[in-house]
Order: sequence, then C-alpha cells, then structure tokens
Amino acid sequence: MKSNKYSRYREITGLLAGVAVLFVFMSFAAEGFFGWYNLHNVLKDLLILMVVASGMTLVILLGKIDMSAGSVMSLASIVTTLLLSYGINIVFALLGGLLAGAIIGLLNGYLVGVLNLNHFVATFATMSIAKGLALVACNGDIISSDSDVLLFIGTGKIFGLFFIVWFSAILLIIMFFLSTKTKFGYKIYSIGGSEQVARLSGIKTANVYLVTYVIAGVLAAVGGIFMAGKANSGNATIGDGYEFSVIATVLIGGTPFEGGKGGLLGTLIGAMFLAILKNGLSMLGFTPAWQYALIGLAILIAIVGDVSINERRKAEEKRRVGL
Amino acid sequence: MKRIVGFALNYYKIILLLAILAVSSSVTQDPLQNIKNMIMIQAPFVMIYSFGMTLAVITGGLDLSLGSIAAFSTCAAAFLIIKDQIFIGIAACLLIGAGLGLLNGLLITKAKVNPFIATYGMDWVIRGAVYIMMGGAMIYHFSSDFKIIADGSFLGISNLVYIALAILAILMFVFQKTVFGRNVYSTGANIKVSRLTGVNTDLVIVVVYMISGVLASTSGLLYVARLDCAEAFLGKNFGLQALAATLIGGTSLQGGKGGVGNTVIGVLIMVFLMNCLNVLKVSTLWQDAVFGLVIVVSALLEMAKQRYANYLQL
Amino acid sequence: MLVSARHAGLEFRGIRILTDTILEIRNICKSFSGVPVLEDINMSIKKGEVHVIVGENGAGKSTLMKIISGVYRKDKGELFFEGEPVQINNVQKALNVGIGIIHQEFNLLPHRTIGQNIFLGREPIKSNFLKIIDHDLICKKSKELLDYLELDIDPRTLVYNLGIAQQQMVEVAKALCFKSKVLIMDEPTATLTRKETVKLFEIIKKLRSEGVSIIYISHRLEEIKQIADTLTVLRDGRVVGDLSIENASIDQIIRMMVGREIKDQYERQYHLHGEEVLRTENLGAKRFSNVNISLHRGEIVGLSGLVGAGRTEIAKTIFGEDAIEKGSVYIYGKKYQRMSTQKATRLRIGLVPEDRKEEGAIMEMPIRHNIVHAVLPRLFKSAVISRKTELSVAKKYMEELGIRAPSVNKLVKLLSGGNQQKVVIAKWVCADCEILIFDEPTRGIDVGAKAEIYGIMSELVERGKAILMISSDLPELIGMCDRIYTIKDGMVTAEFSRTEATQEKILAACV
Repeated sequence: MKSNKYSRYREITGLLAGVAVLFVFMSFAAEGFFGWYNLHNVLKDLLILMVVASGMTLVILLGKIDMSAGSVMSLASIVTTLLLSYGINIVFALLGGLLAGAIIGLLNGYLVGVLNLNHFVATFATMSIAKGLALVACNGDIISSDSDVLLFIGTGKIFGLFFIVWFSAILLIIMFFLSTKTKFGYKIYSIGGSEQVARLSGIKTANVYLVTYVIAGVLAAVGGIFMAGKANSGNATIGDGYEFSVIATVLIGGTPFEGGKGGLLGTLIGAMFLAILKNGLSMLGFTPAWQYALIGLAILIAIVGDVSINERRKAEEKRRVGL
Repeated sequence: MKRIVGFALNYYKIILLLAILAVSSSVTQDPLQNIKNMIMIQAPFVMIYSFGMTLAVITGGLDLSLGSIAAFSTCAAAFLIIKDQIFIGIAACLLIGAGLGLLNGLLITKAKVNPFIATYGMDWVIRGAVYIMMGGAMIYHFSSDFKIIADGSFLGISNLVYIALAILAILMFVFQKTVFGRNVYSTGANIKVSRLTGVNTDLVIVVVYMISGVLASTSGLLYVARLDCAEAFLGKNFGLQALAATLIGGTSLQGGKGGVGNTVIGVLIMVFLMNCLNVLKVSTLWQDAVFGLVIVVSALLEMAKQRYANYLQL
Repeated sequence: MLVSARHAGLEFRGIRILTDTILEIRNICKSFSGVPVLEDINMSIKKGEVHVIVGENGAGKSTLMKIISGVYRKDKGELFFEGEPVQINNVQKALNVGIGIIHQEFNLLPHRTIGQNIFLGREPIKSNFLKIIDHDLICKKSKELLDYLELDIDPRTLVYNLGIAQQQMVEVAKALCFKSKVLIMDEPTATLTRKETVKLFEIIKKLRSEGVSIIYISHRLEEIKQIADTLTVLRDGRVVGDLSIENASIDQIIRMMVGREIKDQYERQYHLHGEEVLRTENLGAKRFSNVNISLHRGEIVGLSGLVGAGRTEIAKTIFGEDAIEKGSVYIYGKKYQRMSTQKATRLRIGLVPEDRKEEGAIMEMPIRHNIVHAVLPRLFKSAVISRKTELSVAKKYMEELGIRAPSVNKLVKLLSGGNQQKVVIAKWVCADCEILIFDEPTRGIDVGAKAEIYGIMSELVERGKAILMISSDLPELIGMCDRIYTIKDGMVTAEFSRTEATQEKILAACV
C-alpha cells in the first residue's frame, strides 16, 4: 500500500537523474558551463523561472492555466521602471509593479472562476491586454532606470550569493508551505481533483480561483521585477513567450494539466532542467534563433510526453477505479 | 425590456459595426474612400486567415499557429519566387501550409495534446524555424507577374476581394452543403456521438487543420505580394486577430456553431475598429490590448446570449 | 466498541428508540423544467431504523434524496428534523444538521489520501493563524474511523489504490465523521460483491444499534428483507405505500412498484430465428475476457449483470469504440480482429448508448441532422447534401418512430427523454442497421415512452433485425429477450432461454 508514495518518489528521482545527466553532459560538452561564475548565473535564472512557475503550478494544480504570466512580467517591469522615472520612491514603484500583477491576476480569476469563461482563452486575452498596456505605457521604448536599489535587486549579492537567490529561496519556502500544509493548499488540490466533489464538500471554489490567480499574477510580477533589475531597465518584450517555458517547467515537473496532483518540488526540478538546457545551449554556441527553436521543440516534446503518459495512466486508473 | 435585450443580443454585431463606422466616419474627411480602402485592401487578408481560425474553432479547437505558418511557408516559397519560379513557389507555399496544418492535426488527434497548447507550441517552434531560415535577412523585389496577384484589379475592384470572395464561396459550399462539412460541425458539437455514429473524427480534425494551414499560407502569400517583401516577422498578430474576429463574429468556442459567414462580419468589425482607432490617432501600440479586450467582450456576449436563451426557455 | 466510536468523534444518543421520529418529510414537490418529478411526498424516518425506499428507475428516489441532502432545492414542502422545521438549501447545511449522503457515484478524490478525503472541506487546523492543517489529527481520527469500520488500511493511502468496496467504506467513514444522525445510502451494493455486501450490512446493523437512522435505496429486492425495518414504495413521483417489513412480501412490493401486471408491456411474438449475424469468440478487452455470445436475425438477446460487470464494455468493443485485445468478432460469418466505429457502421451495426445526452444524440443540433447522421455517406453519394432529400428522409423516420416534436428542425435538447431516445433509435433505423445494440434503452424514460420503445424493438426483430439488449431492469429483460446471458466480473456466467429465465436465477448468476 506504499506503492503510491514510492512511485511519486521514483518519479522525482527519475527527473533528478535526467537533470544530473544533462548537467554532466553540459559540463563536459560546453566550455565555460562548469564554473562558479556561470553556475551562479544559471542558479539565478533558474530561480526567476521557478518563482513564476510556482504561481503557475498552483494554477495548473487547479486544472486551469495562466497564459498571461509572460506579459505580466513585462507589464510589471514597465510599471516599476516607469514609476521610478517619474521620481517615485523605489518602494512604491516596486509595489506598483506587484499591484499591476495582482490586478491582471484578479481579472483572470474573475473571468475564469466567477464568470466561468474558458480558461485558455480568457488568460490568452488578458495576456494580450497586459502586453498591450505595457507597450502603451512605455510607448514601445526601453525605459532605463538609475535606481541603485533596482540594480541591487537584479545583480546585487549578499554573502556571495545573489539577492535573487536569497529572496526566491524564502519565497519558495513560503509557497511550498502554503501549498502543502495549509487549508488553502488543500482546497487547491481538492478543486483540481474534482471541482464537483470540492463544491459538494462546501468549498467556495470562486474564492480559491480568485486568490490563486492573484498569487500567480503577483509572482509573475516578482519575476518581471527581477528581470528589470538584471538589466536595470524596463522592457515590454521582457516576458514574451516566457509563459511557455513556465508551463513546460510545471509539466516537466510532473504536475499534469488535469490538475489535482503533483506539486512544487517537481516544478523545481523542471526548472533546473530547463535552466541548464537553456544556458548549456547558448554555451554550446547555438545562435539565439536556434535556441528559440530547440527549446520550443524540447518543450513540445515534454508536453506531448506528459499528455501521452497521462492518457495511459488515466486508462489504467479507469480500470482500477471502475468508473 | 425583454424585447430590447433580446434585440440587442441578437444584432449586437451589426449595432457594433454601425457604431464603429459612425465614429470613424465622423472624423475622417472622406469616409467613403476610407471604407472602400478597408474593404478592398485590409479586410481580405484578415478574412482569409480568420476563416482558418473559424474552421478550427468549429471543430472545438483553435489554431494559434496561423501567423508562423504564414511566415514559414511564404519565406520558403520566396526563395523560389524570387527566381521567377512563381507557380512552383506558390504550390510549395500551399503545400507547406498544408503540411504544417497536418502536424497540428496529428498533435491534436493522435498525441491528444490540447489544441490550444499544441498550436501555441507549434507557433513557437515554426517561428524559430523561420528565424533560422531567414537569418535576419529579407527577400524583396519580386517580379511584377507575382505582385499582380495582390496589386491588380478587375472592373475597379481589387483582386484581393475576388480571391477572398472565391475562398468564402468555396468554404461556404463545403461547410454548409457537403457531408464533410456536416461531419465537421457534428464533430465540433459532440465528438463522441460523432465517432459512435461512424464518423472518422480524427480525419475530420486533421483535414480542417490542413485547410487552416493552407488558408494561412494563402494570406501570407498575398501579404508578400502586396508588400513586395518576405520577412521572418510576418504574421506576428494573425492568431490573436483571427481569434478576436472569429469570436466577435459569433462562432462559439464550444464548437459546432457559427461559420465563416459570421466571421466576415467579425473581420469587418475588427478592421473597422482598427481603422477607427487609427483615425482617432490612437497609437498602434494599443492593438494588442484591443484584441484582448475584444476576445473577452465577445466571450462575455456569447455567455450573456446563452443565459438569455436559457432564461427564455424556462 | 462504543469507546472507539466516541474517539472517532461520534456522539450517539444511547439506546435505540424506534418510536422517535428524527426526520419528517411533508408535502415535498419538485419539478424539472415543468415536468413534475416528485408530487406531495410524505414520509417519516424514525431514530435508529433502516428505512428502505424502493421504486423503479425514474420513480424519483434519487431526486428525493438529493433534496434531503441539499443538492437540489425543493419547490414546495417542509422538512422537520428532530421535530424542528429546517431549511436545507445547500450541502453544507445538510451536513451540519446531521444528514449525510453516500451518492451513487463516488465523491472521492483519487489522488488524495483516505484521511484527506474523509476530512475534505473541514480539515482540523492547528491554529487560526494561516490555517495550518493538523495532519496528525487527521491521520489519528481517520484511523479510528477505519478501525470502527473494521478496515485495516493506512489512512495515508491514496484512494486511487483502493478497491471499489474499500472506497465505499471510505464514503461511509466520511459520512460518519460528520456525526450524521441520518445516513442516506443510494444503491450502495450496486458495485459490491456478495461478500462485501455482507460486510456492509454488518456495518449498517452496527450503526443502527447505535441510533443512526439509515435511508437505504435499492433495486435489489432480495436484500431488503435482510436489513429493512420499514419500507416506502415510490412510483412516478408519489408515495404509493408505507409497509412494515414483517408483513410485506416481495410480490406485493413488486406490484406496488410497477403498479400493473408486468406481462402487459412486453408484446412480443416469437418466431424461428434466422441465420447468425454476430458471434464473439473468446473476446477479451479491458474489463472482460473470454466472452462467447451469439446473435441471430429476429432475435433479442439480453446481457444481464451488475453495474461495472463489463456489459457496456462488451458492447463498445463489438462496436469498435474500444480496442479488441484478445479473440475475435464474427459478423455475418466473417472474422474481424480489429474493429472501428466506422467499420461497424459500414457493416450496419448500430449502438444506442447508455448515456444518450453525451453519446447518443447531438443535443445542440436539430432532429433532422441527428436522424440522417449515420446514413449521410450512403444517402448522398456525391458528398453534396440535398436539403430536400434530407428533410423528407428525416420526416419519414420521425413519423415512423413516433417522435413527438413540432418539426424536424427542433433541437434535440428541447425534447423529452423518451423522444430523445427515439431520435437515437431513428438514426440507426434510418441507416438500415441489421444489428442493433441497445444499452439501457429505457433508463430515465417515462412509462408510456418505455412501452413505445419496446414496441419499436419488437417491430425491428419482426423485420428480421437482430438486437443485443443490455439492461439492469430484470422484468424488462425477461419480458423482451429470447435469450439472456449473465455477466459477472467480465465473464459470461450463464445463459438462459426465454422459458427458463426468472429473476431469481438471473440474479443468482450475476452476483
């Protein structure tokens, strides 16, 4: 009867083994990959990806999706730098960026959770709304910032590690705790498992959707601010297509589209995989165009793999449960 | 009150269209010329690829890879067309479109990937392939034999209009009058019933995505002929705009409802709307946000309409 | 035992008092889109009794239970709980009052543990700050509940790994955990084996002895005698009788349920059968194996068995929807080892599926599209649809099958259940099918339409078609079929001819 726990561990160890193989391969094949300087940067990119992906994980656990993550990143980076350029205090500028993410998240949650629109299309629409607003706000230009604080957020170090690493680590621990130990986390898993069962058990599903999408929006905004910090400037194309990497990260980490199972631990490994692959490919000397296509292909393969594995598992489940 | 709500929900498309027209006409100096421009030159492109989207939506899916299919097939064909092998080039372009559509269809039916994710992913991959193929370059200065396809006119009406109308007529016939068309609708309305009635639903879906791919490359080709330039960024907005036009035209995301006829109105609304913003001197940067808003609004309208219908039944 | 029960959070009011009414139902009415489903229901449930409710399919049993447990709202009437009037307008309210329900279909999350499922929606928390869940308490309490139900499983096991009987027990535990004073069980034994059923009955008796009232819905008349204290018979949305179990005979119950002599409905003439059109040879797939059945022209052959025994799967495999894993199918004497739905329809096989809304007809399309759906490629060889031909064909079959609708353009979703079913049948009659598979053809259909469907089936076999009929309704199966196969756990256990088939014999072979 312990087989289920065992299989989850096996799944995660399998993933870890994959990451290890990729890591070793890149270390030997790609010159300049294995070294503190590069690895430290990989860690930073990994954690930015992971912060956004942890919000997405919650959404996918609900059985939904958030296509707007990438655009929210762009929007947050623009809002923050724009506010800074108006001479507004950095704290309020950062809060403004986060608020932008929260508003888009709230809109998502309202469209999906309250109005019951198709979640793909609703978040696809908010994706272009967020992107459009970002473009309009910056007038299509890059907004540079002269804030030391923003620069520190992106590139500063504490005890030899990037600020991003410390901050993300704390954030992730909170998210992990939230998703596995609290009532809210339980509700997410229940709704993802079966919305009807959750509702029959008296869970107010609309509230959970709203809060989850807001969390996902805010975390995407955090990712966008990190990106803005890295370049010390805001850019409306910073998050273009990023949602796709994020979704792939979640899927590779073993949280399937149907929702209700999986979790953040898997997503972390998925993020490792993708970050190493991305960095390794550029170290191997692939041009950005090639990277773009290769990573897209890898993601598509991961998704097809995820779907086909799940199809088989669902068939197996049906046989057992007798539905 | 009931009648007013019912009227508004039934004819919202026309009302919307007229409202937009009224606003833009009141600002422009020569409204008739402006409308003629939109219908003759802008609408046909949008219409052709929006038809592809509409067909995919009728099957209960959607096709977000339209833009990159257009870019890939035309850029590949441009290498031939620039060497004056126009017919081979055009044939190759349409074939590539069909082939990429086939891939989409197989991903959806055989690998069982959600259509949204499948075509969005394909969009990414194909776009990457275009960047690799073009390497940042452009192909331009085509022969006039090729450019005439889009530039020429007959009886004072642009060729583009004839092409779009011909495609519309063919699609209307195929999807309203033939067994295949009926099967597309029934597959979209309920894939399980259709399969259990002996319809080869996988084949139906694959063929629809192939048609959608061909339509995407057709409009891509017309764009290239019109702009006299093939570049990797072609069609960045196709998917988004086509989805907006399809939904505002009244084709439902649930599948099995609506049609290319509806999309004609949807496209006109979109084109007039864009033009209206243009004459109002609203920055083109608003485009993305407007597309997104249109999608949300049309989805909401669709929902309101359905609730109203249910309410009337009770 | 009482000690462990108290640990598990159960508070019973001591001894069994049969005279005390706990739940009183007065004048309950309910209708769905204008069609009355329940009319003036009066009933009283006493403390610590097992109150069985029986009735045919569509009699309104499940609807009544869903009203009591807060899933549906009643149109009229009152509920009294322990003498007090109560308003139950959602599930949570019912649970708080003390009414728990175990639905026919399970309400468990397969990827969560037993403990998480038992406490779903009201997990104990360690502190109000952040609402951190007390995991250990969940485990401890669940373990106690499982012990009480004599189930030796770790509460941290995922529900996905449990068998059906164990899942049923988890449902019971879930209801107990709410301290339910009234526990509704909707056909709990439908998917259980005999041994598991005995186990469940022991639990029911134990609960009864501790003062819990149980409302028990069942089709299986033979088990009623074993556990019931009182009995209420529902028919067509009305209470037709309250009986005390001592002075009720099975025959009497059946007569009350059906309300007429059973023989009348099934008018069939039996002829000599024609040639064999369908035979399976050691057919095996996902949920059945080694199935050998045959079907001749002019014959109705029944498949009987419990829900989940594999009847529907056999039908879907023959029809090509599910893949054949072993063995083969002979159609008109020709051997097939691979089937597909396209092939099946080309071979003039038709399937009237169990779930007509999801699998039978396209609800959002008009009647005419549905009727000509299967015949399209044959009717219009040029691939171009002629509207005139389509209309005339659709009208012809609409009349022939007696579909009552204002026009062939009416959407199927606007028809009554019986007429929807007739549309599905019309689709296959229109396609001139030689072999028809009917999966629960009369489920959820009113009595009048049932008789019409029986009439259509009789006429089809008169015309030399062959029918394979799946049904859970034994009188219907015995009344209509020439032969009946019984299926149990994916195997054919027996075959009965029309003359030797009785309810008792068939049931014995099914369980």
